[in-house]
Amino acid sequence: MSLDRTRRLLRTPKSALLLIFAILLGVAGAAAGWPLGLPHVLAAVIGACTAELLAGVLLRRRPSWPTSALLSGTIVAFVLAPETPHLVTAFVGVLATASKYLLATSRGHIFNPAAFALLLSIPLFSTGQSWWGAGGDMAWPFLVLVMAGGALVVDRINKFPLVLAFTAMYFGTFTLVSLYEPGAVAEMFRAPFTQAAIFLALYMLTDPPTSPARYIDQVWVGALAAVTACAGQLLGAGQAYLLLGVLVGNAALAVHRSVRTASARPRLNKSLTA
Amino acid sequence: MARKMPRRLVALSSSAIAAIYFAGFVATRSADAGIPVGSTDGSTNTVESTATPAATTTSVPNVSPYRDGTYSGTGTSRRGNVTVSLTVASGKISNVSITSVTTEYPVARIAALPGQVVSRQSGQVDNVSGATYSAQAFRLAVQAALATASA
Repeated sequence: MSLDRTRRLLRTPKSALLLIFAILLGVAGAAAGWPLGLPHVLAAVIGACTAELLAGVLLRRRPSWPTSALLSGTIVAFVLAPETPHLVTAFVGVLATASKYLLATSRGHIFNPAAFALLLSIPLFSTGQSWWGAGGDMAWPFLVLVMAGGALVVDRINKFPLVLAFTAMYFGTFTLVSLYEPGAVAEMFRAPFTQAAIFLALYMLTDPPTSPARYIDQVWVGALAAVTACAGQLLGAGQAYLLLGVLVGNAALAVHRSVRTASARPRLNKSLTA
Repeated sequence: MARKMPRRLVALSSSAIAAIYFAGFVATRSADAGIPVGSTDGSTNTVESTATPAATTTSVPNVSPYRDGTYSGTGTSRRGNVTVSLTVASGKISNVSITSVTTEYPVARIAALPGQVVSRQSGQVDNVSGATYSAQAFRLAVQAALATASA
């Protein structure tokens, strides 16, 4: 492949993200052990992609490369513990894609597919989350790789205010709590919790269809997601706390968008009739 | 599409967030290191574990009064549960396996604990840094299984 073609390919955020995930998988997979990690990732990706292809057939769409499903499947695999039974992992991948079609408005899907499926998998299958693809089980230098790759994509899709608002509010809240009750939040500043929060902020919260474009919206959505996650953690939501943060942010944005659309419609009609 | 956030502002904000993070890290350093191994003296108040009544017993006998068989036990912690399957053969703990984990921690972090139970013939395993709640839940799960075995 020529250099120009490679550059063109990497120009789209999704392709760049795929490449970054491939690099993360290369390192995390080697650390976790390929016999454990690879079938796990394949199960999630096959589940997500099969559902995507099936949805394409049902909706009579032109066949296309299921990049979104690939990304959702990989995120599902990165978050779920690699010891999860493959059938369960595949089904969570299916759930991720299904949520895109079942919970959608005219603007697109409401919830981050991977976050929604992972949250649902907790009561359904008692799944354990290890965030191994985020480096939850690895040495700190891996986090630099996660952050560098994430920053590259976040810059490309122009979502830095969202990530910064989330991380500032998230670590700010836990730092404040640590002044009064350090034992309650000590682990939030350590592996795998720190890695999980950073991975979520960079790769899940910034999913373009479910995240805002306007800076002001990015700031409040990021802050809301962080406050929800912190509250969830402190009130005992267990492993669901980060996912709850993303999904509450997604839901709030969907409501905000529909209110804005509804209020903009009369103004548009008025200007057309004037 | 909005104009991109200036890189300098991104760098400045990131540095401020890093400073907030390190402040929290330092403030919680003693709390993270201070959870004693298998403590039952009330100093485990940072872990709000609730288990079956049998699992909250404060001591597990090392000399075995256990009946032979395979027993299951579940330990609950604030961050999820751990379920174990424990086998007693000839009055001794011969095998322990983790059958379910619903905490956020990687299962690999507590993979050494079943071996400790077998070698120590006791549920008092080491604490695991970075997987404190999983280790706590594991301890309670083993204690619950042992309570059933000795009932």
